[in-house]
Amino acid sequence: MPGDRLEGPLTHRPLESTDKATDEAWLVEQAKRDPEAFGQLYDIYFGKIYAYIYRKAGDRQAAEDLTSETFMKALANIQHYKYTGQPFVAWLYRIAANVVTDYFRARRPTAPLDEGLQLPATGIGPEEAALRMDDQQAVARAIQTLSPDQQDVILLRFSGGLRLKEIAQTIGKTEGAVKALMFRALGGLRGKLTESGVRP
Amino acid sequence: MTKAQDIREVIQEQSVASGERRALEQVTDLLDETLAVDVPHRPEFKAQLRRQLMAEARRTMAPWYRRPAFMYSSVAVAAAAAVLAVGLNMWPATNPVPTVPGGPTPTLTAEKPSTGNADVRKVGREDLPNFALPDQKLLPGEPGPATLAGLNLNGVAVYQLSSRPDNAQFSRIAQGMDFSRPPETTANGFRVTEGARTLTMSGEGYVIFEDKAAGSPKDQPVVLDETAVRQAAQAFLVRAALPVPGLEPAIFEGARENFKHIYTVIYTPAVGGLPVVNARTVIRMTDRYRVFSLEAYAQTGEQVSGNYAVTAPTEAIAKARERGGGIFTQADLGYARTPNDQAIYLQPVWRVFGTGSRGERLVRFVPALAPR
Repeated sequence: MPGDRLEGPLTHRPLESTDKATDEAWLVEQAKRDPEAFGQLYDIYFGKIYAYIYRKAGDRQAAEDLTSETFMKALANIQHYKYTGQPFVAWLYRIAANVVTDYFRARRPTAPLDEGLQLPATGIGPEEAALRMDDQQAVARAIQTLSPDQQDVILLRFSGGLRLKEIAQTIGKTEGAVKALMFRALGGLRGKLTESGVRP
Repeated sequence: MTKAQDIREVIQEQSVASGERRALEQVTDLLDETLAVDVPHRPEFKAQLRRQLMAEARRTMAPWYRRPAFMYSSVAVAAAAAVLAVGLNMWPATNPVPTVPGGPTPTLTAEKPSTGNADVRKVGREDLPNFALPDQKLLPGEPGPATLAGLNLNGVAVYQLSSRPDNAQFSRIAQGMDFSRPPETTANGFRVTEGARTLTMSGEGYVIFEDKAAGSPKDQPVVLDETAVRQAAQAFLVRAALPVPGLEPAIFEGARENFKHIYTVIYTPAVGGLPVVNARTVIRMTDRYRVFSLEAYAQTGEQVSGNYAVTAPTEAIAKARERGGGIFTQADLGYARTPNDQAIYLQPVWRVFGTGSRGERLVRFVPALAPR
């Protein structure tokens, strides 16, 4: 029975409970006492967290420092993590957001985002590739002009893949507030992208 | 459903004019397209941070052999007693020791695996730890699924390693790598450092070696072929008293900071003819045959703990598909290394092969033991 899935000690749960959320929940529980399980979580989420931080911080060195800090804090606090149905990555994003906020309290980014942007490997031609790179750089710059909250809703939705409700829980706002932030962010981006000569 | 449907609904809810709505939807599409792309990172940074996290995790999480005595099971106590009484035997080198031009000469001879020194009992399913493994990208040249012909899916062996790695084994590995200092015991294993060279091993047998000063970029590089790289890697493993997995390694060439060429050799161990998917040995060397990085598992022999039925491959493929993120069509069987407080097991796992959303070749892992 599906309802039986989460009963019993975590290490003794039936192996058929392999849907993604359940897998993640018990992997996180394992990670509270097993370094290798924490390593698996790191392998899964490193890319998402690094991308979020890089796009907010704006340079590679800062992104590496802040990513290190984020995962070290996650390790230090994972004992207190309780699974509530939210994806684990939302918890990591919350730590990352706080780390980035602390960083910006002390300094501003100095390097452009261009060096870290990457084209998808889809076999496109050089002209199309150049156009897409222009788009990426323009989008990256436009996002940097948004307020921190607006940046969060854009990045958590489009880069992090979180749902609006999950974003709301991650940044501590209501879903309605997140929708309003999203709408204003899209409007702001539209203006900046138009100024940059990028479609739309 | 339209892409980013939830965002389109947000735009719709604001009741803006149709022209503006279309413009905002185009912004949404552009964001969807550009922000879904990975941000590249330095692989050496990712690896270094992982090592730091693992070291910190091992320091802060109480390891199995340091927990209070009442937490030990009879199995672990018996295994520890056997280790003390008999000592550990090493996994054999299954391939002949090669001679490497300009490389180190192997000095250790292969020994036989442990065969029954520890108390390995038949385990029930409730003893086996649950596990989940992240998806793995298949590297160029890595083979696809193996045939299931000849496998008895109603009686697949579950193995238990005969003992935990210990100080004696670590000392042997360290000596093989020319460390002369005595190893120190850390919160979760052993470590020895000499100059720029560091070797660690966890209580689960995870071995990490790093030589930050390997090679000199001023030297003329030697053009190596795949055979020479494979032989050098194998010689290094044998010399370090580490297992040489029987399956052929995958070899990749790349660049790293000052080096025009570096070589990565990835071995996948096999037990009972099936690959152990999460115990791979990864060796990285310069174009001067110098190994600057190693990740491996120090096995201590495995014994069958029981035979169990596994689920059908079609069921595994269906479960892999349920998780989304790709198209999964084929499956074969492997083993997953799953330690818990008492023992280290090798449990069957389905390797489900597919293609990710960006066209990359993926393997997704689904635990294979059938329900009771």
